[in-house]
Amino acid sequence: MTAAQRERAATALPAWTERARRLGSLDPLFGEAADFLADEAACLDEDRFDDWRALLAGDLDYRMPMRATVDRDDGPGFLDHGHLTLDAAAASTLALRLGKVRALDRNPPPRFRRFVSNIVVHSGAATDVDLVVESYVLLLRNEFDHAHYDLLSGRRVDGLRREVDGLRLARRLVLLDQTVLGAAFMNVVL
Amino acid sequence: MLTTLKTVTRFEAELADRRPRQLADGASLRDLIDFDRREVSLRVLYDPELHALELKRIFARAWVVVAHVSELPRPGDFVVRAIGEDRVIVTRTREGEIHILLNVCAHRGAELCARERGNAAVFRCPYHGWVFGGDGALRGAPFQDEMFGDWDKSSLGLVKAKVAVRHGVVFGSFADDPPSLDDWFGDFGWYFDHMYGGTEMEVFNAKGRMRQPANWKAAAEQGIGDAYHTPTVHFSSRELGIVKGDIDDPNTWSLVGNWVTGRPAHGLVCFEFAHAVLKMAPRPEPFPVGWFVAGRLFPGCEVGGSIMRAALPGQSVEAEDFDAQPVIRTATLGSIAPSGPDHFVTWKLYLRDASAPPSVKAKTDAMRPNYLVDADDVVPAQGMTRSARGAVGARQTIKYNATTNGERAARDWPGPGQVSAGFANDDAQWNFWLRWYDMLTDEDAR
Repeated sequence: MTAAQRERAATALPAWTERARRLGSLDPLFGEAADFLADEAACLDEDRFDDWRALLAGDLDYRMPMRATVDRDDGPGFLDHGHLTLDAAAASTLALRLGKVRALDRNPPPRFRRFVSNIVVHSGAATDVDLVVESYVLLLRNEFDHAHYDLLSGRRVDGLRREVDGLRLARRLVLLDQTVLGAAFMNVVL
Repeated sequence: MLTTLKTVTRFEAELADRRPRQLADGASLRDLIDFDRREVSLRVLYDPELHALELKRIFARAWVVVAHVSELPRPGDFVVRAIGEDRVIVTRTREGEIHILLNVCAHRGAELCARERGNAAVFRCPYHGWVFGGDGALRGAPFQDEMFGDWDKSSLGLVKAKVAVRHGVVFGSFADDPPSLDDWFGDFGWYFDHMYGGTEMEVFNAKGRMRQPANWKAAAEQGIGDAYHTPTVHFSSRELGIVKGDIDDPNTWSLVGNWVTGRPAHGLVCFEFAHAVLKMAPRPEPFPVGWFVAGRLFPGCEVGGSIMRAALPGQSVEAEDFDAQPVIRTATLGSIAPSGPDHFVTWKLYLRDASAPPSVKAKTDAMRPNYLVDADDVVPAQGMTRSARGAVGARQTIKYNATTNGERAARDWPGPGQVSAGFANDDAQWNFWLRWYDMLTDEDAR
């Protein structure tokens, strides 16, 4: 078993995350992937949910598994159940919920800011993704006149695919750093 | 037509006669509730002194749901949950028994278990290495002969909650002498048996654990019987098509049904799935296929059950084939636990018949928490808690002026309790506060 395969087995990463060749930060594809992530974060932070949906592949598979604090020997503690699980149709409904309907927690909309960093890009070994892009995300949220921010961080593993009009997000696995989430983060895309 | 003057029941009169303790500012607990007008002081949603009293008199005495047995299939399995703000380790021992251990080392009070779940034969304290079994007994300690000589380990085991397991649901109580689970349930027991009894159930999904900036009671009393909030708070669910129907039709908003409540305080709504595909054949069971039952048991246990045909509403099946579809039972089970006077945490499991064939079980795979709807509820609970912080806000009242006095009693209802039919009402929520006041002012209970 390779180191990558061992890591995948330990965290039960799906097959699409298998990495082929590392594309360092001087590689043009790295720049494309980084631009994609920055554009996606801006769409979400600026409440441009239709623009966000245009970045998604038709066979989107987005998962944010639940996590528990477990013994070190038992791995990172991710569970089978999901906080947020999206396919393209669910992403479409979510976009409506966030942007268009009379939802109490969306008017006035809280202020979100996603900081995306520590980007690592590989070409994808699996056939359903072209690039496996890993990044850290730190999400800050502020509402009303509160002094405090709600914050949430995690690592994302994304599968990007090159389609006719450009890169699209086909797969995302969000590996959160918290096991009990602030309720403010229900329905929030990381 | 609801009368504006409420008839005070004998239970309320008895509660009203109690002379409870004073709070630090000289107010009495008696000032917090008005039995004639059916109002509660908003102060109760923020006051730290009341919070401390609730931890002692409600959470440390009540039966609280902590787990489902199917979460602990193997000997050594454990999960850490909370009863009030006391963390407990729910274990399955090698002998197959379920125990509930206070997660506090008997030696110097260190937190014994830093994991939220796992499998362990013993628990070793990180401070001085004392070792406890899954049954809470002290097995030994490092250098015990040199340190403690011939010591009596039997008195140094972990504090344990009493355990009651009914239909796979695990309840714990720290009361010295808790009532039997039957007595605690009262009329609720009949409904509990229908939701969880009959066949063994297994966990197949869960709702993410969450922490909300609101007093636990704002969520608990809403969940026990507030349907009235639905057309306002959850208006977006109609826009999203989660809920269908005319916005002026109360049935669209699940405002019409059968409302069950009673002592010690539970509230359930029972109604038929309203969907064109679902055909209701007369069934011998009290709850025919297609009925949905959900609500709360005091103090914050979330319960719910439904019996559905494997063809769920929304799937097109010819009417004559529909009755032939196999039946599967599903249920939800969870709890609200306070985390300070202005936060609470929640967990919730989804259960289904364990022995249903895989093809039938697969029909439940789409059952999952609906965060699109749940997110709406955060706003009012937070707002009420914030309102209670101000000196003037704290003097305002939470009002239950839609209680029914038995005027809408359901006819031919198969189950026990205070059951009304038709439009929603405040009865279950008022019972929540009566129970809250009862436990808070019961000086004799241990």
